[in-house]
Amino acid sequence: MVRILIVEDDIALNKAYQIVLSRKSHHVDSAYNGLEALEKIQSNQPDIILLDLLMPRMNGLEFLRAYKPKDRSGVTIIAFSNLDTPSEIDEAYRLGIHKHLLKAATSPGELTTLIDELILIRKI
Amino acid sequence: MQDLPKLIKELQTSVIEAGQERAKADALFLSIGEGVLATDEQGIIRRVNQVALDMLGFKEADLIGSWYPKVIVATDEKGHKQRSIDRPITEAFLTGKPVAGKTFYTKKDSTLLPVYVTLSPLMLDGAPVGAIEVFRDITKELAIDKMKNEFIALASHQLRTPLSTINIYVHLLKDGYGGPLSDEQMEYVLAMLSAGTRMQSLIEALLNISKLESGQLTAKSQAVPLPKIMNEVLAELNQSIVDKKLSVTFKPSKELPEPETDCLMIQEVLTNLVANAIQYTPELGKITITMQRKANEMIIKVKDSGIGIPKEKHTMLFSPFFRAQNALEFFEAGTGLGLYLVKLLVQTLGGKVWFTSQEDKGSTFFVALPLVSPEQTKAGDQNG
Repeated sequence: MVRILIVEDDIALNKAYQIVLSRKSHHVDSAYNGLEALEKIQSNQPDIILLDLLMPRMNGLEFLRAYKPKDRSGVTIIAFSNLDTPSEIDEAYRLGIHKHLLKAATSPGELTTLIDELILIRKI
Repeated sequence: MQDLPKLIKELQTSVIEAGQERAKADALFLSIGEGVLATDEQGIIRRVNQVALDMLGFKEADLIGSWYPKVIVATDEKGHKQRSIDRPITEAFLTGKPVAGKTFYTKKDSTLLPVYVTLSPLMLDGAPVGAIEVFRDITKELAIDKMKNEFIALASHQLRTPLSTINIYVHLLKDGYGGPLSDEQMEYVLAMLSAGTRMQSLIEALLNISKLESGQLTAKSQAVPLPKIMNEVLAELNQSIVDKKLSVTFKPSKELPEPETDCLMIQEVLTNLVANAIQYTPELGKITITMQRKANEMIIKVKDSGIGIPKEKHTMLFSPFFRAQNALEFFEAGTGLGLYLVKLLVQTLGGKVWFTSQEDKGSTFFVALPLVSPEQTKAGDQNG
């Protein structure tokens, strides 16, 4: 079973991703900001992190800087946000995200397809 | 001999009239609220008004008698000096027609002043005898334009977030996550989905436009296989082509060079032009796309057998939010931003876009794309 952590401050959106991804029989956990995500990761290392960039308390970029797992290769991070300023996206890539998706332009079908592809490629 | 007193009288009247005309011209020259300068046929400054001196911080003696491109240095916004051959006066003297445009003038204290310049050549028997230049300070206009772009960017980002939530839940309903839907419920959901998607494309177009207008989005340059990109665009739009039973032919000429351009931008241009052709062509219509090289340009042609554009609307076609009446009646859901975006993108790529059209017969859109990007051309000039 693939473990996915959703990091998204918008409650309705967070819930929508949970609905979509649990249906695919993945193990889904939720956090509402970067700090909460760091706490969740300590007890349970995810395979995939779906990371919003604009969040209160600790945003996506701050999370990426603070997140230092022993083995980063085991985790795939997808930045999933409505932010599209090149400087911030480039910084997110430098900090190790696998891909950036524009939330508003991604349907649930496209999201699950991407996750299925990742699972195939990374053999999670 | 009898006529001599009469002649003298006429001459006196003419002198007085000429003096009055001269006084009127002087008054006009001095009182006009914009910077004005007059040059002779060689571009030497002969007169300049006080507004021009105040705007640039010069004294009359600094300018009079000097070659104007040398004393009034024009640059782009980054301070790169414009060559005198590229200045409006050169073009105006060559063509005999007025030239207008935005530029930056270097003031006496070396700071830059954004100005809008109109230069009119004075022609006598087809040869230039001088030029009048009028320029105005556009600092405030540029600041307002910047604020407008920042506002659009901010508003669009803020609109994206609630729209993402609406769209994702509509998708969930449609995909049956909330249980099966009756046919009628599905119809309602599809209507919401279509409106949500339309609003989404409107926001994306607005954001792209604000980025292009403010210069935040600059063109990258790499060799782009245009026929391959066009085939991808056609594949992406295939469903609507099939739905309308359109016959689409794409014939690139053989052995086309790969232009040095921005792949994503040209893809956006092609997508918009082909999507428009599909949108405004009735069922069973024809779309023909060709690509060929012409000198240093690639000419892309998208021809449709659609509803065409009414003649009186031709000049408005590339304006933001413009949609012709027959387009509104034929297809309701357009944003009115597609062709404006195409124009901005093609300009950014250093190319040109134009069209020919006949109502009820169809339209043909042309894009002329330079084989080498403008940035590279500039670098080449400096090296040469």
